[in-house]
Amino acid sequence: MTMNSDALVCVAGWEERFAAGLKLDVDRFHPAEIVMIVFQEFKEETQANRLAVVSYAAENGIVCRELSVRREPREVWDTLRSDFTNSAWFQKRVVLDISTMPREVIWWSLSFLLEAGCELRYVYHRPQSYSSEWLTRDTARPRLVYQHSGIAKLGKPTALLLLNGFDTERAEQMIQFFEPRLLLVGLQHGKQFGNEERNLKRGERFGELIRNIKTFEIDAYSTDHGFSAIVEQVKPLLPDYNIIAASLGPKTSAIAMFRVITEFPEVALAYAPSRQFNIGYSSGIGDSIEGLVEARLLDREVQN
Amino acid sequence: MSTYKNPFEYEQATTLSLDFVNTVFIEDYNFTRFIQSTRNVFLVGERGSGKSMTLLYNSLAVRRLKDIDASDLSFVGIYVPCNTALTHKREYELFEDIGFRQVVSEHFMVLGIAHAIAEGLASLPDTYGLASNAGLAEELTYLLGANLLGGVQPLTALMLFLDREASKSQRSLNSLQHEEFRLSAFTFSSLIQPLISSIRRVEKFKLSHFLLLIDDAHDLNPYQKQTLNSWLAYRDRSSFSFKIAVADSQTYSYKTISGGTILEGHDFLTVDLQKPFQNASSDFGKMAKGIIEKRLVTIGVQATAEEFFPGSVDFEREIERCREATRADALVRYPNPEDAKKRTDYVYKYGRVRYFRERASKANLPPYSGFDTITHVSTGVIRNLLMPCYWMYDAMISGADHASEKSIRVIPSNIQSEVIIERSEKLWEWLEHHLVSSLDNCTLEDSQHLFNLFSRLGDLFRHRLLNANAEPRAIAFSISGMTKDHDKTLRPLLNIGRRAQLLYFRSGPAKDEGRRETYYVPNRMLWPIRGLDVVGQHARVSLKAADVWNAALGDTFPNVAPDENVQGVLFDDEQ
Repeated sequence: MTMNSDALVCVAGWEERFAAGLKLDVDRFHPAEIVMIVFQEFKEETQANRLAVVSYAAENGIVCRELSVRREPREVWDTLRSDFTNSAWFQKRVVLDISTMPREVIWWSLSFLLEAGCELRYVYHRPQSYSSEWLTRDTARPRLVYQHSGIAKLGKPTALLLLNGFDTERAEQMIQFFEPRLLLVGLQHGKQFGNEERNLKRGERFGELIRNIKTFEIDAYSTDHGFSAIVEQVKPLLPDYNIIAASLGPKTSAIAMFRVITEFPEVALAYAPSRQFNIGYSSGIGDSIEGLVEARLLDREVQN
Repeated sequence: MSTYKNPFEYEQATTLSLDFVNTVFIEDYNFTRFIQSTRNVFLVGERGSGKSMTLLYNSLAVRRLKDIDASDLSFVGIYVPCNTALTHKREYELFEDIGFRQVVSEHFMVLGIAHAIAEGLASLPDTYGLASNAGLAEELTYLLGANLLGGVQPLTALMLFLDREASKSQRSLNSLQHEEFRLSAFTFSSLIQPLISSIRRVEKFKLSHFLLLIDDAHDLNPYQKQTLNSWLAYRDRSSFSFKIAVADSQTYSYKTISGGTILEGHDFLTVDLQKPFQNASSDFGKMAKGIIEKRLVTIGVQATAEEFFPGSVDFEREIERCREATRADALVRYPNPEDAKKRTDYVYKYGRVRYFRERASKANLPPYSGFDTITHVSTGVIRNLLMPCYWMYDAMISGADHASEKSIRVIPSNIQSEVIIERSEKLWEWLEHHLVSSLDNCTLEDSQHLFNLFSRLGDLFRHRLLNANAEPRAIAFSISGMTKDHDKTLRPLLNIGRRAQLLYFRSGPAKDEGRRETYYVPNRMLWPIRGLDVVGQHARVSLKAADVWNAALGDTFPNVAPDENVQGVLFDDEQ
């Protein structure tokens, strides 16, 4: 089934699934415009895919606009804010392709576009496979996300909530950096991509850093992307802890996490960007997952 | 995950119960006399060196557990952690106005301090004259312009007020409403000073000096650090002073808001928690023994550290045999009666070396056991001391049936050795495969360079242990011939090693009279798997910067004549 939309927002990537996914997006959502956020640091790596997208967009009579930005949080935030708060976005039908979108960009795009009254859909194209080698490395210091840094209670200890997929090396840094009193780890349910073995190894390593660990299962590929499972864990902890949450696993869990912080603005979002990516990070394109972002979530935040 | 109580828990101090801190902490008068004073003090020490424990132990909350006399309120310690969700907020960066950034940063910091003061004092019983003090409630209401909640004790009402303010200002900031924020922001002089003054007007606190124990100040944002430094410059220290724990005094900025710099000796003192020496008679050796024995008491074991962690009998017998043989050599070399010191030095240098040289051809590793070995493996860091003990105890528990868990009275030397070698292996594995992802701002190249460097240092130290005449057991090094180029390449690498706690920086006397130099001690846990003697000796190898950098790139160290590359510095306090 196809539908019409006013704009499609994505972040240019070098993976096969980026260009292939954008073609699927064009065919499925018929956007009038594609807004492609381009990180200057990866311009060369993404060039071939960008050309392919521009060419396919042109073939379909779609305007393709690039938002070029350095991968510095303040600059990205400024750029997104300045663009998405423009009145041209007011009440538009927008699709976010989050496949190659960093989490900070997902969260800021969601909040700015919801604030603009947009009807928001998201789409995520899974790869066919991930590299068996390293995925990302050279991680910068973890940080709380601008405007989503929670409402900290004075004198309360930190609980760190990590939603882990298999790109989880950043988790260790998060633990060392925030030194939480409690670590909550949401493990991706299922055996795909060797999850079970990876989860076991990870558990051993985390145990060296912190004793107070609680694990629970989430399914980031279910309809709520693990939202209910996260809420079940988070809610009882709210009176006694300041919760810092990070989505390090399946990208769709970032959507669930956004729902969590809009329901519970006390929860802070953390992010630890990697500065090196394996160029063979993934190959091919697999299933696609899409959904609608409920606008009521933001209303709640504004009321607070 | 097991749920038994391991007495050697080495998690960060803030996760431990106050009762546990009170029970196991070993008070060091060298530190306490500065903390329980009106001076501003920086406590410097790497992760795991005991900064948080020291501050927590001096906090009112822990000292109360010691049943201090109710009238002993001359020093009131308030523990203020900085690694908090509030401190990590960075919305201030979204505002161009530097003045506003300072306002925001100070506001959150003083809310945290005020809350810590109120929380610390609110837990005191009514006999201290705070809980039902209507005058205090009225005064706080007046001074802070706060509408404090009635029906609860004044300090609880203050905490609720502070929480409300914190919540309100975070919401304003998250939604970028800075005007509202600017109007309601607190400062040190509008919140902390009046609060302390009000408390000091209560009879029992009128002579109290507040020790503001600021932990992990390196986690504060740059504006908060400047603000804190500015407070240190206050001349009047009659009612409060700061004791500030930082991981590294070299990278911590001492600048103030006005652009000046606070000065050591004038504005503050520095207490260094880093311990360069680990032998039994050193300060650290004594402290390590005290720490272990206090922890043993928590599981009902009255044994000494040496009894609980006995060394391998075979190893000790072999070492003694080698010492005897070396003593015989020494007598031949230095037969004159007045050469007794030379003979002692000779045995000290070569006694243990003989053991390692004689067994060099054997494939297996020597046993690593005994409390003295564990203390040396720690490289002078308390967490490194507790860590192998924790896993040794864990190994005993996992190998025991439930009924015998409570009867662990000794860790056999073979278990100790297995654990030390396993931890050593894990450390190398971490260095080779996981450092890059475990440490921020560490590239793949950096981690490979560090792996190469430690690997080559291991080769060098082993070569020296088996072949060198001068200072063969040296496992520390200094660097000569640093150029500007090396400053750009080698120094950042050494700093990554330091942040990863693979390399410790120490300061010691240089060859030039009166001068001091930085020397480097690799984490001694690296060496068991390489078959080195973790006890080391009181000497350091002087390496050329170019050779160190080449080693980082993968080259071996050149075979220079031992006398040229060893600086045999014997430290008086270790002899």
